[in-house]
Amino acid sequence: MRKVAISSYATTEFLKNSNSSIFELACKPCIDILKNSKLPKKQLDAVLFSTCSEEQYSASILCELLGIKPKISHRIDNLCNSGSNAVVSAFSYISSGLCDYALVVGAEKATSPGNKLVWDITRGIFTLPVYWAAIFAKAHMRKYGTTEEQMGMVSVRNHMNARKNPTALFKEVITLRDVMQSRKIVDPIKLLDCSCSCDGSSAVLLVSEDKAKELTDNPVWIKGIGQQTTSASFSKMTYDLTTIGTAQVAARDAFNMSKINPRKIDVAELHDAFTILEILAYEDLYFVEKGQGGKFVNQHEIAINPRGGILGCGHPVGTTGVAQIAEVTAQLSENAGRRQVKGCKTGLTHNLAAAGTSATVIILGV
Amino acid sequence: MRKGEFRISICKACDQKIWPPSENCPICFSETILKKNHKAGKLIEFTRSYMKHSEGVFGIVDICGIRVVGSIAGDPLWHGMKVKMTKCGINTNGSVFYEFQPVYDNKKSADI
Repeated sequence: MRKVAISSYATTEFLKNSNSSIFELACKPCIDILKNSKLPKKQLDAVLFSTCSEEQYSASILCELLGIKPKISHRIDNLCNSGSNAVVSAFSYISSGLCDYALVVGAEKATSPGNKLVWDITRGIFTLPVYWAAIFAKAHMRKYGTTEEQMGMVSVRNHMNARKNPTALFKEVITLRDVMQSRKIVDPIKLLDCSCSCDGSSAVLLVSEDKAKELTDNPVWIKGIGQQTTSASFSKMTYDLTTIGTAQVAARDAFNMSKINPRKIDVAELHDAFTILEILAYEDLYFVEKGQGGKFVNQHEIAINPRGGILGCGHPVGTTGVAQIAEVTAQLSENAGRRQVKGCKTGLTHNLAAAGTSATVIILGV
Repeated sequence: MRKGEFRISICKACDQKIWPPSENCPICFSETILKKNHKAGKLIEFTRSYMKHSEGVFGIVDICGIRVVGSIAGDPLWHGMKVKMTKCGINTNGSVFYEFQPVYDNKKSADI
């Protein structure tokens, strides 16, 4: 299996309404990459488009707009972890030898149908993600004593990080008091415990190991991948509502593949669509023992969500996984500017879909 | 469901209970039939919604291995208590709904 690196990346500014079409959004980071890359466009042999939009044949349309004629082009739609799935697909194409260069782009509008899984009738009228997030939070609070304040601090920290990210949707600092006094949505989840859908796009260029040095002096390598799907319906995702079982399995496989210990992760982008999900992630990713996630919020061993996470950046559904990879790549190649985590060598992305019924964990390193 | 009946798919070959309903069993791929399911269950977790059109308490209920999310009307409520489905159906907007109320008796909650 060939090694695969990420040689370049780009992320657009996330906005509540960009007034751009899905294709205009998708083109922006691709043009940024292609203009600044040493790669001649005609050598690009795969284009994968991560989106939950309703446009048919969207990868091929994107290729036409970019003037690319790749061997491989298709779309990936897996709700909130479409982006990381697209990166894994690109990795697979390159490592197997089917192509050398794969452009992965995520783009989404705030009004995307990917914000809700209509099929899942086990949720009854409680269709929106906030309902299952509240159930997870209640279960964790009841079993382990996790507090609303601990969840609130996740939002405070991620919003603070987002201030240093020019592409983030939110640029304001919030306090714990702001979170605790924000409007109640579904107990214990308040408005500032929730992320917000938005328009946004991000792209990364993956390259095979023998071509990587032609494009960059600082390749960032994909060292480990783990994925797991349990179901589509929330009611079947796990019988333990304090654990996202798919994330545990995905993390275990990624750590095994990379031969990297969880304690050696320097920087991580976690799926904080709701504050409780970040707390569960600390445990599911083996950063901390089961039940201790609430106390781990104030740790300083691992830089968590330096871009601001989903809470700070916003959640353009098909884009998020790609933007996470772009951020960790920026960090590991020491190009993260004001939000640079000093001395980081290994990074991780954690990307969930549909109440954690599927998860993808990717480990990167230099 | 439109008639307010909670029927689930049961595999003709292996008796597996399936929800959401499916023509084929996910375990052995045999055909399934729809059968009325009993309505007693166990309240796994619950909380309160402040969202418009879903105000009130709701939770996950386990009905003999089938789990659904429905409204819970009653007080007091506690984790693991017995509840009973009082209503189910399909709203005019196409969304499925389930409604439960507590069962207060001296018997132990059913172990699932």
